[in-house]
Amino acid sequence: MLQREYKTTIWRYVRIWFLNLRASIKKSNTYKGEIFVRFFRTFFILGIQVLLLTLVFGNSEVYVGWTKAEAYLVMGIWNLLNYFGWAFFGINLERLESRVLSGEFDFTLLKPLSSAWFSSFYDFSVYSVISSLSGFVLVGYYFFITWGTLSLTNVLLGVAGIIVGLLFWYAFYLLLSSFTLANPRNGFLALVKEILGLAKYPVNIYSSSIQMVFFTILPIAFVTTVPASLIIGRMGYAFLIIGTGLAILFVRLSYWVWKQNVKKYVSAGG
Amino acid sequence: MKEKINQKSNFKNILKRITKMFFAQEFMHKEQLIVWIIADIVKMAGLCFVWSASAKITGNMDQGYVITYYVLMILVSKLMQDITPANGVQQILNGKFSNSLLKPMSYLTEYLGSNLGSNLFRLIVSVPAFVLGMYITSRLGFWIVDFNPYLIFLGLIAVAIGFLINFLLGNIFALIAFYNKNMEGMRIFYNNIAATFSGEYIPFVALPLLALFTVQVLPFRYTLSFPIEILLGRMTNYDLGVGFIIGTIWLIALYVLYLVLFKISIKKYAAEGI
Repeated sequence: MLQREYKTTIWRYVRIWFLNLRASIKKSNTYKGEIFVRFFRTFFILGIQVLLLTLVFGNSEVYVGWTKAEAYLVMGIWNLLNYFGWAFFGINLERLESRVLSGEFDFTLLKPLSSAWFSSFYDFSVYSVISSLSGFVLVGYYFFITWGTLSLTNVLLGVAGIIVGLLFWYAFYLLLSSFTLANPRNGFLALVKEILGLAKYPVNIYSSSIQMVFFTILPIAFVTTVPASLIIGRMGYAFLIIGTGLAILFVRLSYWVWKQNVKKYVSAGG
Repeated sequence: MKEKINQKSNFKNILKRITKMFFAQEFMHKEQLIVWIIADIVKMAGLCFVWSASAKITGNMDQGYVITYYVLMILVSKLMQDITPANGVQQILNGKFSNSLLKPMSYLTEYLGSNLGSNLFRLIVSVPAFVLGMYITSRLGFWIVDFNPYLIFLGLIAVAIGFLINFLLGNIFALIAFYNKNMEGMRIFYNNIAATFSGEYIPFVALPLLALFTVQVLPFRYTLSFPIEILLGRMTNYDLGVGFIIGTIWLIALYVLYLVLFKISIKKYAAEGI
């Protein structure tokens, strides 16, 4: 099916996103109990992650070249990206399969907007923002522990690194979920979740050949390890520049693959 | 609404048919299932790296033990899966549960059959991955299981007990849907709890004594870790005995609890569908 292209400014997209956000916030008020459950779950997750890292470290001060506070930082960044990613686009791309199977995706194609953008950002999960608290706590703990030695430049570089990480996260999600359009029920989204799950720990736990893959073909090292290393001061501008370039490339690639899959979409439903 | 009680002879036939039906249904979406299993393997490979690096650094546990633990998990976890927390809850919420109540059999038979059918298919698809994992770990000198028939037999009994415990836990959890109409957060939370205390993220060999005692008393250990621990062959006869006794007590207790809670909860069912 050919998709009609419309000339729209970025402000139109921003306006639509804010309208969707307002609707999502209103919707989330329906089940107030859910907010309580999410809070409870957030602290449970936090407890388990702290326990896991405590056990992984044992009596050792350093694990694969990372101190405990640095490992908390990596896990905290992962939590932030995971739950913010889910809040912004993950929830929508997860629903893509049911929209394709029910034929609802046809309406998306009729809208005067980019179908990839609309399919990614039409809803916002307020509940996932609550879960991201676990990320703030872990990253905050690292800042608290290393407050005296923190450098503002490194922190700013790290924040830029986290934004680049979110771009990678989005590119992976969009790339693999786009295949749902041509071939629904393919399970690729479950695969991308587990692949990104590997970034929960510093890439140094993997063998050197796997690390090479994680910096090149499947650059999940740029998701958490690189931003954390930028904050710590272990990596410099070069990694941020390479990461930004790769992230833009991956986002462009995923949009291109999306368009190819839209062409294969036959609107047959399930 | 009264649930119809099926006869013993019918139960076997119905269960067989439903199992076959769900096996065929899973086969229909085999590509998706294969990718899911690959995703599962990616997760276990990641955990393998985390814990083997920890074993190497801390020396608190044997590297071979944790690696073999996660390779065995590829196979054992497929036998333990229960889809009730997702499907059962959904059926209650959208009102389709009414159909199950009208059928001349308990809805548990239907859920049991659907689990058996899909688990059987997942098990078959996972075998090549397990063999490959076993081959690689053997080549690297980390494989520690010698396939003792006695332990395999005990492991299979533990798998049966563990699956039934998981099934009952899932069905007790699903009953909450009669009271609460938004189950998404609770379902994710339940999955987190079950995965954590079953030994998926943290192998119990890494736990300190007090935490180990706690997880041994809870039912979740028997839904994944216990059969694997048996197959690993490092348990004493005393630990085996205690494990089977606790597992059986949980099985009976959960069954009774389910019957009581179902009787109370079904009265709340309005079949409204949302």
